[in-house]
Parts: sequence; structure tokens; C-alpha cells
Amino acid sequence: MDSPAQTIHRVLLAALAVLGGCAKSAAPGGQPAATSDPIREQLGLVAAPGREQVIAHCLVCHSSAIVVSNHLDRAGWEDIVDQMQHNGMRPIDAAIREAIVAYLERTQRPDESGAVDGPWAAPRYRPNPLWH
Amino acid sequence: MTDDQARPRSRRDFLTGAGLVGAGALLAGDLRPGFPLPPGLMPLGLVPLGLVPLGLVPLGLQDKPGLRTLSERPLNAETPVELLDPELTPNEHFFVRNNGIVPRRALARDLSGWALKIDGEVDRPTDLTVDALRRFPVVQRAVVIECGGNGRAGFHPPTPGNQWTLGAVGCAKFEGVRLADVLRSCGLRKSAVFVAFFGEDSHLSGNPDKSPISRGVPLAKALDEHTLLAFGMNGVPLPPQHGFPLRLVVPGWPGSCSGKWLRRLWVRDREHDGEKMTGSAYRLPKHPVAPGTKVAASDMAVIEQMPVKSVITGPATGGEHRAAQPLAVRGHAWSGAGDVAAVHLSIDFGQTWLPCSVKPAVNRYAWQRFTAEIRFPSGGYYEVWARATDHTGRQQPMVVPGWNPKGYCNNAMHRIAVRVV
Repeated sequence: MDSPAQTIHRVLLAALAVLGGCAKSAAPGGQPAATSDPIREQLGLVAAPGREQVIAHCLVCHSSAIVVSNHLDRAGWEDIVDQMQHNGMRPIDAAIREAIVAYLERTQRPDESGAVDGPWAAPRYRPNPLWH
Repeated sequence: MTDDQARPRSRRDFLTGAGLVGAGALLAGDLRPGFPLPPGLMPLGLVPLGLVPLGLVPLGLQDKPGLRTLSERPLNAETPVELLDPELTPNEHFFVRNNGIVPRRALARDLSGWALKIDGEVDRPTDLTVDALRRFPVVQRAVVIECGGNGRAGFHPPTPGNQWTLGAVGCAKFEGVRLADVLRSCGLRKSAVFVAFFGEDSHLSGNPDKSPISRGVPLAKALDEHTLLAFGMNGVPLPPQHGFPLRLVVPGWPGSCSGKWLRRLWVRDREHDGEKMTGSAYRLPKHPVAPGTKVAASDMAVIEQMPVKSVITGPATGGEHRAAQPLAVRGHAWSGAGDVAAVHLSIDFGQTWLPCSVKPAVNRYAWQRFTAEIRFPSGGYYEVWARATDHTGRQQPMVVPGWNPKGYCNNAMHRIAVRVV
């Protein structure tokens, strides 16, 4: 008998394989890339302990895009989980909460912010580093 | 009017056929009740409605090509700056900022049983249909709506929320009636100080007792002649993503004040305490703080007027330009304070400034076209910076200003890069 996390993982892999195949089939002539981590490819969530808990408890309500576009320190992610609980997230025990916060702290750090991507990136000059 | 919602959803159909009804439903976003759960998740009672692969066009954006999706559920998408070039932002390119799930009524454009309830500190609580609202004087105004968090991606340390860059803004011609006329017809009491809204959008958690967002404005702003109850947008009824059948249009204040899918206005005798009115939502520190500071809730104040801002809508950043030719630069400028007095460009990192030609606003709170022709003294790498000044003398800053815990009100100058050859 699988643990709940293993069950989630197995179901997700099956779901994402179909969704991924669907997305690829929509691109004519596109060669499906060999994939070692369909969850990362499809949801943007890097492989690390706690990922299944994030999928099971956070993606109940919202998509992964808002997770992977945010970059916060531990206190910031603690605040977000508090806010989500206020927003009606299903109650979670301390171990699940720790797994979620630890995953987010590890994979979505402030220094890996994507803020320099996109429209901000094209002008190449940066504010004077001597100010810091 | 095309009814895009009636069209078959090929992706949903495909997914349903593949047995992934749960995944298909989550793409639909509005189908929470009544679909089978993916079997493996049933023991946990968990339905991952947010399990949406990145890169798929989310439902709700099928008729809005070219937007950049920030979040599929709830749907949030911004407009690339080049698509902001027209005088009025077309509905198909207008940014989407949703806090909850779009009501079925809006998707079906179904007015049956709908009326706006106005109650609270009024002598005559009233229910008004769209036809009843149309009996008030109908006005059309071009109004900028900008999300309070537009530019959030520029803050460092990063702040939580949708990482809007430049495009959570647009200017549309709204048709509606003055909120002041409607409120006064209900007999405002002396005790009225705040007008709160409730919409028909549903909470992401599925809890019918929770409101995804319920904000509002102080009475003085509600009674401003420019504040509208709008039922039309750019010549058609409000599209589903923009609040059908009725929304508030509160010019110059964060877009979150301009509530969509309205069902009730509650006139209150105190500041409203609905969802996203309290805590740190749509609030700034009362005093400047060092970036990264944790600010106590008691030291935060609700954002009212948005700052002066501009975007360069042409040319796109990163292009090449021949030195012999002048470069035509164009864009829009706006301010929560009303009219923009001037826009200047710099091609030497702010050492010298060139005044632009700025068109008068078609009405207060519309954005204003600026244009200029630039001659470059040599080939090389240039940046064009744009700086608007509003009629109160306030200008856009060069750096990202006023770090705040939720990343609001970034009105730093927009810059583009140009390689002159």
C-alpha cells in the first residue's frame, strides 16, 4: 500500500504524462523532449523533499505558477502559509506544514528571484552597486 | 457579440476523453462541483484544482491572445507593453486580475435574477437591475485601471504575489452611470462614510461563505463625479473577465477598488473590513522603511491615490536603429492625481532630458499619449528613459521607490534599450 505522498506522486505522474502529451501534440512538428522530471517540466516545481505536499495541499486551490514566480525567505513563506490557512486552506499538521515551508524555503529563495527576467532584463545598466 | 463560452473546449474534451475529468475541470476553473475525483487522491479528499501545466493557454484567455499568464487559477495575466500602444486598450488585450473564480453568470452572460442591492446607511435600500441603472444619466469615460501591484517584480527583496512587470494597466472607454447619482437616489444618511462592494465571484477554496475580495472606497471618492458603475467597456457589454454585468470604475486608485461582478454595495458607517481591506493587503507603510523590513499591521495604511507613471509602447526594447534617422518614441502617461503635465526622455542616463509632446487627456483620468523624435549623436548602446510629471509636480523616480511588504506602487521610470548602428 502506497503512502499518501507516493499515491499523489503516482497519480500526478500519470496525469502529467497525459497533459504533457496533449500540450506537445498541440505543437505541430515539435519533437517531444526526453523528460526525466515531468512534474518540474509541467508545473515548474523542482524536485526536492516536500514537493508532493505542496502539490497536494497548495494546488488544491491555485495553480503552481504563483508558487514558482515567488521568491521569499523562510519568514516570508511562513507568512504565506498563515495567510493561506486564513484563506481556507485545509488544516495541516505540523509535519506537513514543515515539509511545505522547508520545500519553499529551499527552492524559492529571494536570491533566485526571476525579477531580472522579462521586460526588466533588456536595459542592461543596473542601479549603482556602490549604493549597497 | 461572440459567445466564446459556448464554443466547445477541445482541450477539455480531450482531457475528459482521456479520463482526466478532474484535470479538465481544473482547467475550466468554474466546474468545482460534480466532477469525478482522480481516484488516487480520493482517500485524501484532495482535489488539485490548481494542477495546471505551465504554458497551456488557460480558459478565460482564449479570446485574449498575446497576454502573459501569471497565474491560471485564479486567472491573472498582463499585457505586453507593445500591446498597450492603442489610445484605448482593446478588451482582448486588457489585463486580467482575478482573486477568485469568474461567476457562471458572467461566463454565460446571463442577467436572469440579477440586481444590484444597495443597503446599509441609506434611507431606501434598493435593488437595481441593469435597465433600472440605465435610467440614470449614462456617461462614457476613458479611464486607466492599474493594479496596485503593477511593477511588483521590480522590488528587491522580492515581495509576494503575482509578479506583475509593466502590463497590469490599461485604458478603456467605460460606459455606465455615476455612482454618486445612484447612491444619492437611495438617500444617503449622515452616518455614511464608506461604500463596500461584494461581487459574485467565488472563493478559490470553494467555501461559499468566503469572499475572494470585498473592498471599497471612502464616501468622498464614491461621490466623485468620475467614479462609475459601469456596464459597458469599449462599446460592448462588460466581458466575462472584466465584471459582467456590472463593475465599479474608481479612477486613479488601485484596480482592486474597481470591484467586478457586483451584486451588493454596502454603505457603511466605518471603514470596510472585508477581504483584502485589512492586514497588509493594498496597504503601504505609513513611513518609509528599509527594503525587507517587517512592518506591523498598525503601521500600514490603505493605498488611495496611485502615483504618476508612464510606459514606452514603441519601439520595443532591444531593437536596432539607424543613426542617420530620428527614432520615433511613443507611449502613454497617467497619474492617480489626474492630468499629466509633462513627459521627458533621456538617452544619457538622466544627465539631460528632452521634452515630449503630450496630448491632453480626452477626459480626466484617461492616459495621455506622449511622442518624441530622438536623434542619437553616435552609434552604440543607448537606453531611452521616460519620466512623467503630473499636474501636482510629482515625477517618476529612477529607482524602484518605497519598498513595501506587498510590493505595491512601483512607478519607476520605464526604460528601453536601443542599439544604434
